[in-house]
Amino acid sequence: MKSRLEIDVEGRVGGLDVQVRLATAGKPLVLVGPNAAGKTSLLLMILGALRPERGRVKLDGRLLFDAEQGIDLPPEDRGVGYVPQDYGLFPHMTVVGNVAFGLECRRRLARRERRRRALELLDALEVAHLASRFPRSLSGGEGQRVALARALASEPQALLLDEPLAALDAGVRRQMREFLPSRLAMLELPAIVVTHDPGDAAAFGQDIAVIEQGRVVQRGTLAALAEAPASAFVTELVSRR
Amino acid sequence: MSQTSPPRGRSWQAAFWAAGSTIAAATLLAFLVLPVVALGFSIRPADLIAGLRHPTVLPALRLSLFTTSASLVLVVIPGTALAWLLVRRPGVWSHWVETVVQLPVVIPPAVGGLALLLAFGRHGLIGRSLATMGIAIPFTTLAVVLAEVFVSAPFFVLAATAAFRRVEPSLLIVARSLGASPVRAFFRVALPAASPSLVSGAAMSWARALGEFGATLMFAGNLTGRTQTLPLAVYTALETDVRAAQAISILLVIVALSLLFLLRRGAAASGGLALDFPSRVEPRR
Repeated sequence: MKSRLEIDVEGRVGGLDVQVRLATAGKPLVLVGPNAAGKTSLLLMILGALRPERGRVKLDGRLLFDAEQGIDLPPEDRGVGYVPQDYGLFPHMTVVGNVAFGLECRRRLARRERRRRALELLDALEVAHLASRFPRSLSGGEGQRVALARALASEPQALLLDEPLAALDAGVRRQMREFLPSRLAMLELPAIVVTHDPGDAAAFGQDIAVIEQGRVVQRGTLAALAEAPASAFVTELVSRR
Repeated sequence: MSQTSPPRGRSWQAAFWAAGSTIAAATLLAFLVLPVVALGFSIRPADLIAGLRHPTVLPALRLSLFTTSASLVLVVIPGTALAWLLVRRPGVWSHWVETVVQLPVVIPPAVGGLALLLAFGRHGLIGRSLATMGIAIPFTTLAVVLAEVFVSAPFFVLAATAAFRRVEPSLLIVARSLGASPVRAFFRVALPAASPSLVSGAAMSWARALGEFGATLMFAGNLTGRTQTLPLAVYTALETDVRAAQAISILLVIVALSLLFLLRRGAAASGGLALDFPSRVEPRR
């Protein structure tokens, strides 16, 4: 069964009024928008790191947040995986240690078993050979894969990726534009991928939501956006492709 | 007049400034090094050993080790908590708290000692109620520890605050999203990521406590074996046996130099581990 992520939140972040209503199930939703449009703030609200003033966040029928009922699960109880823009790898842990951290919090596994599972996850993302390295010695693409392996280690019911391709150079970026979307498709998790690049947006699939000044201004396939752009930003976005 | 080469007067001026600033810098450097060199060169090894055998030395050494260890614990544990709160729960009050924390650095130590006396002395603000319970702090070993905490805490808290500010907030969000409780995220992620700077902050704070003189003299007195730490022993020994004063001083300098050396090596070694991961500069509130 494909799980479903429903977001309907309102809140003021800095000087920006965020008011977003989105739902997605089983496939990645691409969130595109200019800088400071509220994309990362929205991710933080879903994660439970930022508290909306009104609304609700529902995952798989579970209420993660509901302002009216006073429900606000802490991040550790939400089951939402997160890969931040700079990958957020723990600098003092090895690659395998980073992934094992994702295993140790939720389940009581023996140390050896954790390590074995972590290596498995790394192997699935083709980075098992980096296991004993420290994050600072990884390239952008390697860091991205390790961060994804770590997020998957905690068996999340949804996945949030913030600008997953932004820091990569052209060659690796082309490669990851194939690799990441195919992995996400295999997982069948509701996922939100934040990007500002139309090429990246197209690579992640057909469901694109454009967010500007805290609001969703348009949603659809890239072709639909090109046909009837709802704002100057959308016009510019589809022309850049 | 040529456009390409500067006028003669100006190149002479530049040379003058270059020579002048070099001489000024070298003079200051020499002034800083000379006394330390003098400390070591004007004593024969036999006198050094005789000096260290002076009856004040061993009790003072023992007391200094004990009190600075105690004050280090009393600074580091609450100091880490305070620094963490300042970074993670900033508010209108945090600016004032940071100012208050820095106060002991700018207050003259003797004034600090007097202030401690007026707070914890027999007729002091808190000391009066302590006295009715039969607790007297001034002129005890505990007073030495408190004086050291007072003067050394700012060094640790400031270093720890800076260290926690350099920990990426996204690291903690990731840790929580992976299922870590706030406590686990702190101990497994924030603390280790900040630890190299925390250790050097603790070392600087300990060195300040070891050298504490003014506040200790005012608040704890100068009693052999109870409140006479190494710096006070130097002061006392100078009146009777210069060799002993010199020997203790050399001991303190060696400790200080080794600490500096270890810190520099530690910073270089951990630089690759935790000091140079990308950090976001957060605005200070």
